[in-house]
Amino acid sequence: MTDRELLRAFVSQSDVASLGLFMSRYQDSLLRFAAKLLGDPDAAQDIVQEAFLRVAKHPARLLEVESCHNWLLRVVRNIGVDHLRRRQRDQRYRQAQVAGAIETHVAGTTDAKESSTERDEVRAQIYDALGQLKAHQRELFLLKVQEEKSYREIAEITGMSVTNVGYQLHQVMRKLSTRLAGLNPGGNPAAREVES
Amino acid sequence: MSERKYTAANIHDASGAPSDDATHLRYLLTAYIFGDISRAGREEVESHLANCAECRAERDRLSATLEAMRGVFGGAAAGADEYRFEERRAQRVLEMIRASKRRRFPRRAVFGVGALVAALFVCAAWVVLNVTGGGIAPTERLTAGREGKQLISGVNESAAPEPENRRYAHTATTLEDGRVLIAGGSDERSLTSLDTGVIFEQSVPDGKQTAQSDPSVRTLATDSRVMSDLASLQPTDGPAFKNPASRTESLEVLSAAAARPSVQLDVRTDQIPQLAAKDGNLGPREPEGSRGGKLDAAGSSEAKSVDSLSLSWSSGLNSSVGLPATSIPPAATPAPVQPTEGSVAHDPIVARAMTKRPSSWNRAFFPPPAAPPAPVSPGAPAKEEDRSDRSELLAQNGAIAVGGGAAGQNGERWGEGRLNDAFSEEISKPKSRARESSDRTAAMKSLNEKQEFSETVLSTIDSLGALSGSIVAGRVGRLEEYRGGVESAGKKSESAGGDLFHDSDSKKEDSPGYYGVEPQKAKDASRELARQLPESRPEGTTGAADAKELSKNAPSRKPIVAGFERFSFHVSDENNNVSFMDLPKEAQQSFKIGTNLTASLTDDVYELGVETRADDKNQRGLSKRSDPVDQQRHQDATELFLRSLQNYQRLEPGVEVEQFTHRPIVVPPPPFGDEGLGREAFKARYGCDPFVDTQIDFLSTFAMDVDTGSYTLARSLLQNNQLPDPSTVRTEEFINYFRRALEADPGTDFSVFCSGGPAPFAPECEQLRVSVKARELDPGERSRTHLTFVIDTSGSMALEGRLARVVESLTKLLGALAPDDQVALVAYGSHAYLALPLTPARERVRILGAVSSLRPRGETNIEAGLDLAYRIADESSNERVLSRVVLCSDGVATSGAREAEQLLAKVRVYAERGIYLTVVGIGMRRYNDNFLEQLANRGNGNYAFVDSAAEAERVFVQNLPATLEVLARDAKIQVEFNPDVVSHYRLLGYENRDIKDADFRNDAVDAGEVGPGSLVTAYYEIVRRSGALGALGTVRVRYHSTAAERVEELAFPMQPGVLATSLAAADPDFLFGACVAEFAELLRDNYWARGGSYGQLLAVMRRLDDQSAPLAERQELEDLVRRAQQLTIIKMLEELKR
Repeated sequence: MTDRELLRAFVSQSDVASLGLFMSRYQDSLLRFAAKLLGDPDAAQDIVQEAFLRVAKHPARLLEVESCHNWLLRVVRNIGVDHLRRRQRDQRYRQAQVAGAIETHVAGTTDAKESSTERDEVRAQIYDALGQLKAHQRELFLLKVQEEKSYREIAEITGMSVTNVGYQLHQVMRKLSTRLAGLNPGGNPAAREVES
Repeated sequence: MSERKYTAANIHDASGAPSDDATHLRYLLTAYIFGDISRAGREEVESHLANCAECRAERDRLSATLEAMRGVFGGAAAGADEYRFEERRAQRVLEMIRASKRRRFPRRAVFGVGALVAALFVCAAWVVLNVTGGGIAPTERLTAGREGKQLISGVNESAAPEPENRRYAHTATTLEDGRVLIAGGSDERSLTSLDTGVIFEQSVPDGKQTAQSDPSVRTLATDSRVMSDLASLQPTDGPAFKNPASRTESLEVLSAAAARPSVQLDVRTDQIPQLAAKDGNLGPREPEGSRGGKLDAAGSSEAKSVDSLSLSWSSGLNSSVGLPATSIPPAATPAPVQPTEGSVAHDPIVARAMTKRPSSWNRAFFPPPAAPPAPVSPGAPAKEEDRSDRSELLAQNGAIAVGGGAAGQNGERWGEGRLNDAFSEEISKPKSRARESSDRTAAMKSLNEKQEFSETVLSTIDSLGALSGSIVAGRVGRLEEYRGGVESAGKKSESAGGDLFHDSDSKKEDSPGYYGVEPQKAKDASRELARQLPESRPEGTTGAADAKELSKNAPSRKPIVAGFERFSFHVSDENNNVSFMDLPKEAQQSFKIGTNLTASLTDDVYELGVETRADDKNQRGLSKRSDPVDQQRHQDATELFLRSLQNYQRLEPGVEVEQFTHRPIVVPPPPFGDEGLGREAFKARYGCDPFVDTQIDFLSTFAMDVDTGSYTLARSLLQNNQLPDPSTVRTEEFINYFRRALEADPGTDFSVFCSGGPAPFAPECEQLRVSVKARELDPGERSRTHLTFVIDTSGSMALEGRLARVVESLTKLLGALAPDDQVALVAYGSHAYLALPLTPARERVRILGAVSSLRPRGETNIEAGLDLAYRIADESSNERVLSRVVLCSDGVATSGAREAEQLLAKVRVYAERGIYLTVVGIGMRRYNDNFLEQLANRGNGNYAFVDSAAEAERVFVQNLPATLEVLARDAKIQVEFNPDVVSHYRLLGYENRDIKDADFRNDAVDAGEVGPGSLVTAYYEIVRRSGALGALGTVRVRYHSTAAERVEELAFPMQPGVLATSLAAADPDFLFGACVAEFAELLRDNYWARGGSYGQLLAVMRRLDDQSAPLAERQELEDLVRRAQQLTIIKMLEELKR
């Protein structure tokens, strides 16, 4: 069934199971976005949950949007931004991500531990650089690189103008390239990362 | 769009210096490496790259970075496995949705009949009104599109004429009845919340045109000429979209909507100019005679050329609080006066209560118990009288009175002026409204609740009253005090009083007003005004001049509130301290609509939803308040307002903010008793004890509890600007946190201290404090101790330096242990291991080495950790040794026995074998407070929460060694009240520690374990019978003495003298404790604290002196209260938003 059909079933027949199916198509992707945006996987769970609840209140709206994913991202983003505004502690992002990475790494397969140490280091550096971005820039970055949205879509999701999206993303890329180059004078972290 | 901009010619910068062009090129470069670029842009970049080595290098850098990032974030690499939405959450969402669906049905059935009646009624009214014809639609619930369809949305950045950076959103929505709504709003986030809108009526004669079949839609969409025509037709100051840019944007949205093949946009090109024309009419008023029927004229004349095109301006209060999609005819037809909520004031019972105990209302700033306000029936005049009566009543009693009035002056912002007109029309020409009732029938059905219908009418009446500028001055309550307040607040507030008009610079004189006339005069004035309304009014004032004219007769006072422009209320407490609040229009709208509310909190600035212009000299927002006193007053008032609303909504769930601001508010504090539920049912519903009638039960029994974790946790959260979950706030732990050095009688195990006086936060009753102090241990009485630490080393302990805190704490503890005491370390993550076998404390280096080797990793297998620790402790335990397990965890069990019960049972078993469990909570975010507390309860141990180095010191160095020893087991307290003296009592807190009265002497019942020197304090709210003398009752303590190995019971009488007769005479320490208790009750959102507020609490705390508590403690508490207040305000605002 297509998303649309699922939603219609939910709207017209109150078929909650079909909404569940619909949710399952997007939930992990939304969670990933929220988690990276906030740097806090727990809060991300809350936010995705909240987003679905909100969406379920007005399911008909989803039927009209061009892309459900974009719309959901938008909802998640709005809730997430509210959350961030409340929290206002961006430095936690870094800590949490780094700690999260360590935890994931430690809890992960022990065999791969040795070989992935270096990779984790790079990851940590990247998270670090990302954590130093302002929240709205991080958001743009995630939408572009992780969610692979176009400028136009990003503008729709964030409510920024396309021009501004372009400008901000440019700033983001510049900042990141400076940071990562500084961290790794001897070589390009990118290359190693990609190889691994 | 971006490409368009980037393709400007000549992007080279000849000198190489950064220029605008160069910057553009760089954007372009970024877009280029993202591959998100137009062909023209691509060519441009490539041609430039060919010539520019610097840019090539830049490109390489950027794309390398991007590759690296993609490696981590992009597509598959993004670690899909790491991020799984928890299944239980998905289930929970579905459950909630299911539940909400289920809930709806019965209601529908019940109200079905009511809805039908309502629908018929309204339909009939429509038929009547149809006679004269006309074009004004009633206000429309913009969310009427709930079942409708949203077609498209667009966001226009910075299109707003007013504050910079405000965005407006526009949506086109088909309503249920098929009409199309184009709406704009000031909140880019939520398109459900819109300020204003235009509705296109599509009831064309043939009635069969649809977007798909109507070619004109295409024309609209694709023909840019048409678009520009449209744009040119729009009068520059059309109130719909005052700013040309936003107008254009709307048209773009419209056209874009039409351009989409899937869209059903039933707008025909020939209708658009009509919109424009109508806008013209809705714009700034013509000087003469244009008022009154202007809309009509537009509507009907256009109706000739277009097919009944009509325009409905949704009021600013629309989306969330708007009226249902119905007309308001009933309002125009004076209905017989029926008892209204206002008549509560005349209720003999209330009146009696008023005269009897006026002071008792102060708790809530509200009058005393009264029947919930009855739904108000239509009847505008009566209502106004009631309101002013009520307001006077409120004014007499220091109640909160909230007023909002309207005299929409200008149409400067979307639609208000018009709204005003529309409503004036409703007043002046009730019968000129006409619509096709058949179209409405569907919408009528949305009125599925009779009550909602009456609310509609009510709010309409209110709107009428408000919008027409006929404000009842009495609504503002005590104007005199208010003025005094303004003056005493000095210049700043003075300007606040004078500068209430939105456009203060130029239009102050003309601004419509809300005048500080005396109630009676105001009433007269408003009546007068209402009478005059049908006549034409001068331009731009919309009744203001009239009001002003009238007010000249009144003593010359400054206008206080500019009607619709401002929302204002003030509060006066028993001492006539007045705090007052007014909000600029933006904020007012926020309250009403729930949009553009930007409540936020930073460390030093309290910002509440007011977007001020940077260039505004008279920055009116709360955000810019630098004077802390001023800010605090605003905060207090905001809180009171929101709490009043909240309380009101409890009584009358349907009430909306809009209605609320237009109605006097009377919310009684809860009456004593248990709502007839009985104690258990009451507790189950509200989570706290009811007031207990001593005729029914004069015994209050509970286990002693010396825990303090709840307070430290709340403190930690608040200091990080988060509100604690009400379920984690335990009043008794708050109270017990603040320990006092009471001198206990060394000859007996327990001493009891009583004190009390009038309850500072509930003047209708008194408060009694019962403190039970255990004696200190003699030196040499202490036994050797084995401490087995169970350290959570799961991954989550890496956060916030939790593990580091544990290490630090253990280090400190070692200094406090006797050299012979032994320490073992069990660490657990996914698995548990023994990091250090039992080692004497004197081998410090060895212990510290083991401690510092701990590393966070893996999951939280709390069960494995406890199992191992208990085994170690069990093996070494013997008669002469005190064996304790100390769990240090952030409480998140992610593997192992997650079922709390399973683990609790295990803990219980070992506790019975003499191995107690002390729990130390660490960290905060994932902190699982309730679970840890339960563990400690079952384990006969203490529970503490460590959030700072100072707290670690307190817990590990001062408390832990002391609490290891147990002076009394299963210690219970029973307070027996003398029913002849005390009529009702309520125990604050100890809900989890409740013991059945009959079990007091049942020594098998598990109760609290008490260490030497501990202090347990309980607060009661009591009501004494008037004139009754004699002892208040008796306090009994029953416990199993560990030293004597037998059960003992002590009794202490409570003399009436322990209750001070006034607050001034009361024990300052008791007062401080009362503040702490009130704080906890407020944080819990306790039923009994409903009338209270943080503002009130702060006011009381300000009166405390050094004798009550050390300055540091008071400051800490005050800081926490203030934070809680801010956070609560924000929370309540956010709830309103939804």
